[in-house]
This record gives sequence, C-alpha cells and structure tokens, in this order.
Amino acid sequence: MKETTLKRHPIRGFIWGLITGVGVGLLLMVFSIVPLSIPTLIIYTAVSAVLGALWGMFAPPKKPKGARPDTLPPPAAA
Amino acid sequence: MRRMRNLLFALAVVVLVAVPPAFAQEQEPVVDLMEFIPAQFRADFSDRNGDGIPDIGELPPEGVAGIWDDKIGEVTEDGFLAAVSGTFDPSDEGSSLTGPCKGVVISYDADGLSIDAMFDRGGAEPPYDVYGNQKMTRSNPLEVDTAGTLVYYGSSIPATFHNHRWFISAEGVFKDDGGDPNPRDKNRNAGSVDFGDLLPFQFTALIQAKGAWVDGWGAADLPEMEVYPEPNCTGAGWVKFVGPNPLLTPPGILATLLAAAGFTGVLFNARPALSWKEG
Repeated sequence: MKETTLKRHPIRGFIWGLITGVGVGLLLMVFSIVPLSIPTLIIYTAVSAVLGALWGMFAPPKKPKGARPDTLPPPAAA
Repeated sequence: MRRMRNLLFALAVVVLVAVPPAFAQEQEPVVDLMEFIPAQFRADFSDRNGDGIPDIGELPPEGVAGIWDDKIGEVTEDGFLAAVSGTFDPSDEGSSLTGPCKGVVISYDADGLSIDAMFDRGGAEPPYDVYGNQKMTRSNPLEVDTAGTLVYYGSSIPATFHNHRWFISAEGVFKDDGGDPNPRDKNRNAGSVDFGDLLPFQFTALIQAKGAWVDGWGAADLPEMEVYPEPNCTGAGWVKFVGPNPLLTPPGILATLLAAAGFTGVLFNARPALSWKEG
C-alpha cells in the first residue's frame, strides 16, 4: 500500500516557465547575443513555458515533509 | 604545491585571454571623413579618441546653423566620391544600400566623441566603415549610443526625387515614415538625431533595420515590398544600440529580475511533491 501521494504542478511550471522565458530572452537581447525581435521573444517564452510545464509534470519529486505517520509516538494514555 | 600550480594555471588563462586583444593591431582608417566638414569649421573638430573619425564638442544651440546645413554644398559630389575612393571587399553579408543615395553617418556618444561611422558611395555597393570593411552587417553593425547623437549627410545626386515617400523601420523597435513633394528640388540633406532626447531610457540591443525611399510615390503610405518602382533607394542592415552596462539599464534590470524569479519558481514551486497519505 502506498504511503505517499504525488502531486504534480504543470500549471505552476507553465507560469514560472513563461516568466523564465521572458527573462532569459530579454537578457540575451540586452547583451546583444541575439537580435532584438518580438517573434524571437515569443518563441523563447513559449518554449520555456512548455518546458516548465513538463518539469512540473515529470521532474523528480520532492520528498515528503515531516516524519512518516506510523513512526509518530502514540498519544499519551488518559 | 598544488595551490601554487592552480594559481599559475589560473594566471595563465587570464593572460591568454586578456593579453592578445591588448596587442591586437588596430585598423587604420582608409577614408578621411574630415573632408566632409566645411573648411571654416574644421578647427572645431579633431579626432580626440584616435579612431580616425572627427569628434565634436558641444552641439550648437538651437537656431544656429549647424555644420551640416547648406554650407555642405561646398563639398561637391565629385569631391565626396574622390574622398571615399578605394576598392573594398564586400565579403560579408547582411547589409545593402542600393540606388543613387549616398552619404555619411557618424555616431557620437553623449560627450561628442565618435563611436562609429559609415559611408555609402551610391549604386549597388553596400555601406562601408572608414577602415574599408562592409558596414551594418551582423558582425560589423553600426554602433549608436542611446544617450548620444547621430549626424548624417546624404544626397541622391544625380537624381532628384519629387512626391517621394520613405520609411525606416527597426525590427520590433520603431517605424517612421514621411515624404515631400519637394518643390525646391532638394537632392541632398544633412541633420542630426539626438537619441539622448528622444529615448526615455538607455538600453543595449542588436537590431535589424530596413528602409526605402521611392520617387513619385505620392501621399499614400509606402508599404514594405520586395521590389520598388524606380527610381528608389532601399537598404537594410544591422544596428547595435550601445549604452552602459546592460545589467544597469531598465530592460536589463527587468530581465534579471524575471529570470531570477522564474528560475526560483521552477526549481522550488513547480516541482512535483510527495506527501504522506492521511490515515
């Protein structure tokens, strides 16, 4: 019987990926590594958002917080 | 012993990276742009930073005729062509300027020191810099200071455009257009663009620009086309806006904050999580 449940966060990954894509795209443009171009920025943002969603779905999960419930000490007797 | 070895290795890397550029042979200019400044004003200009391009001091106050006004007529068409003569190799791609248009563009920083310059001799040849290299290519863009000034002199001699229409656009940044019936038969012009006044903040970016100027188009807007009716001047190339450290400009600060926030969110908030089952 499974002791843990897995929660995936594709929407959070999509949103954070969106923000990362805009930031990284703009950084590349202000350093003149890539030309300033709205279509290019949109592509970077879209790709990063998709990668973020995939990360939110399939990345190695974080370990559960706290101790396992069956290792907790029994409540004190009345 | 190991620390000393690592220190020597790091020092060698630094020397190999930093020293060669310091000893790199600087190009010598093959064109003297001072010839385009009327003789009575040349005493006010000098090459203060040693790049072969005349630098300016304070710009004249408004209302005073600038050095690029009609007095530039003292430099004739033949004189211009003679001053920019030479054989250059347009081996690089990415820039063009065709048609009868020709002229000079010089870019200055906020202190009047020259940053970059280019000229075009008209015809099918692309623009060149003063060192004989093709200009406005991706590897050799025209550098413009976002706090500085751009001065230009241009002509369409022997052609004179009437009822003309023009546009200039920069990818994702701006587009400007205009035209004129030109009843006075002007076929040359000079002026300046003060980016320090026009732009709300400084920034750095590499931008692709294009433009066209068509004779006899009339009052209607000029669209982007593959081929324009003759006579015309069309051009395209790369411009690099330069400024302070990119990370200190408003776009750079915004980009850094967004990238940092995004990475943090992806790593710590978007990752799947295991939780203990209840019961």
